[in-house]
Amino acid sequence: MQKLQAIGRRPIYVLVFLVGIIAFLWPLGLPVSVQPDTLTVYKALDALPAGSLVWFGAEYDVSTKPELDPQVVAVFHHLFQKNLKPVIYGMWLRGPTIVQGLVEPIAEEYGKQYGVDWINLGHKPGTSTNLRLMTSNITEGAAGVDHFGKPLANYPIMRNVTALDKASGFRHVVIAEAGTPGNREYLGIVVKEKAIPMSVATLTMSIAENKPFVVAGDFTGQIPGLRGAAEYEYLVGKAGKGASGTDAQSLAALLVFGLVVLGNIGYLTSPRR
Amino acid sequence: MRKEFPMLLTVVAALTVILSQFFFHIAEWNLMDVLDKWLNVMWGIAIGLGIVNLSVVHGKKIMRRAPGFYNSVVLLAILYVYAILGLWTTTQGYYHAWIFDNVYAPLDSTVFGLVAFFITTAAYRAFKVRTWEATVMLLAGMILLLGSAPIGEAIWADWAHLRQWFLDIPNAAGMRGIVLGIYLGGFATALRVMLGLERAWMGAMGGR
Amino acid sequence: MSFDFPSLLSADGAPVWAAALCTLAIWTFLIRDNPIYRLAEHVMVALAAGWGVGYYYYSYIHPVITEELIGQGRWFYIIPIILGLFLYTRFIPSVSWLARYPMSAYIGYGAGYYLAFNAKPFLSQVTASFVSFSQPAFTGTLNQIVFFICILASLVYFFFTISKERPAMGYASQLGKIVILIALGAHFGNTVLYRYNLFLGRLSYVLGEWMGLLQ
Repeated sequence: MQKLQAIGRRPIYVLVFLVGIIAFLWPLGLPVSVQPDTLTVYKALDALPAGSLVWFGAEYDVSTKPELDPQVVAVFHHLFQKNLKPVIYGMWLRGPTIVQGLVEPIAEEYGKQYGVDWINLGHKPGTSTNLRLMTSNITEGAAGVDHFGKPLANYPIMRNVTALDKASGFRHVVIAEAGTPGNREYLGIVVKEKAIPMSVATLTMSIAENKPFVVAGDFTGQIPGLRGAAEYEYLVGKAGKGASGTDAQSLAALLVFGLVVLGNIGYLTSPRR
Repeated sequence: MRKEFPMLLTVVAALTVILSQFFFHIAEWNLMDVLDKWLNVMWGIAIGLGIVNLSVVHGKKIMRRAPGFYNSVVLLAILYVYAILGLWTTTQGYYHAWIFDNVYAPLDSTVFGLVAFFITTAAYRAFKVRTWEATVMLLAGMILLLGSAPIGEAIWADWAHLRQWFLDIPNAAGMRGIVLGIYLGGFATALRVMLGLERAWMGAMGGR
Repeated sequence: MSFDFPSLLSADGAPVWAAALCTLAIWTFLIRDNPIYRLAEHVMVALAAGWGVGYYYYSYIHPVITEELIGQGRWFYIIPIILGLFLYTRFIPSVSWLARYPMSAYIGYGAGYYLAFNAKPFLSQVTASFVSFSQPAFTGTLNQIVFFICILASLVYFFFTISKERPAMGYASQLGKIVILIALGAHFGNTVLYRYNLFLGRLSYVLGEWMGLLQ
């Protein structure tokens, strides 16, 4: 029994691979129930009047793509289904580039035109400095150009938009965030100063630390990681990578649980305890 | 000149933000907009710092023929070629975007995913019921682990509710204690910076 | 179920092969540290640093210089540009102190920003802690009472300047420790799943897009 706590790291690595392979090749097809956090975000966006501007903060990098991409895709399906107008921006260098790649095919699917129904302001230098400037003057903050370096004045969607505030038509902020800068900057600068509600598409890792803000009502809700993506996909009726990922996640969770149990049995039966 | 002026600039920048935020008449001067814009321009100029730093570090490695210096040669070559390609074709250029999507993105996300292996072995080796405190943490961890994946609900229908309760009540309360501490620590540090008590940011010459 | 690799030389297949080989190169680290992994690591760092140059230039530096500085005659932008260039003096020891000027502006802004923009979120956390016990359902009331007690206990745990020898403080501190351990345990459980999600994302790419094993 004591040997149970002496499994080497390589057999564990092999097990991790095997579990992943089995989960993908023979999916369990377990259903995912929609939890209140995700549902609150869905309802908040669903209640917005058509044509409202939604600020989308692309605050992540390629390292967290597997977790956040499915959430972004599901949210944009919803935004376009409701005829909302997303304005993408990123304090993270590569965030807007990643989101641009994800949104283009979805926009095409719904017949949405770049510059008319949605726009990408891109990433601009500065983190909180630039976000604050955006709440005062978007043209200054964006240096007058979008993600592609083209003048903002060319785009109809920006015609009456001067700042990230309610007067310009922004009704909600959604951010896909992987850390700092992220929700705390938006909370201080946009939610509290401009009174625009914010929902957060977050990493599974950040669910627990975001909870005090969700409970306090500072965030409207949070889409919790890959599971949240699966829940949102279900709500918008677009199955995607969230649903397939959570299936594999289940076996991975069982593996870690099993290993911890084995390690503890080995520990408890050890005479040297 | 070397120390006093930067200290003064620190106080001026901090006061500009604070006064603009708390006094309506000062806010009307739009000093914050000017300061924000200037800092952004400075930030934009600073983009080359990382490249200069990498060039210095890896250049030295190559000059010394340090072990694995050929990797540094590859690094510098790719760095400059990719940067020039970006300037030539923009980041939307076919080859630039191709490399980003099919080389950089997979490398980066795989590196982050590697931690799954290490965290599994770490959980197996270290997550033991050695003390009652460790047991509490282990139980909370396992409830969340299984509850966050659909398997929890497959085992027991109410597992998701249990997970949600743990997240909303004890977790939110514990995290709030931590969050309040972080905010208070941040306020104290900001005040120390403004009062010139915190000088670590001045670097090695901070004392002089 | 059979393997269905894309053609290496096709326009659709080459990117998949490149991405899959990059993934495998990083995974070789699991066997041991090796030259393939080292090379992949250096390539990654080079691409990460090189990527931003073109992006920053076209999306910010070029429009600021051509449109705002020259076009609109905002010549005072010369000042932040010079201050920005001062950052590079860090590499020249005799004038490296000049780098403190731009740094001092950032640090000062950061300090002011923290005090000015985090006061409301902080107060919001404080006020949200004083929850109403009057809830429609009994379980709701019970939850709010437990929540309130847990917050108080976790705050007591962080008071290091008061004696914990008095029974009330001692018990409160112990309860606070449990609450914080639950929060940290929850964080750990979620972190494990998060890391798996990143790994499984790559594995699904290798099995699906590259090997053609997934439908």
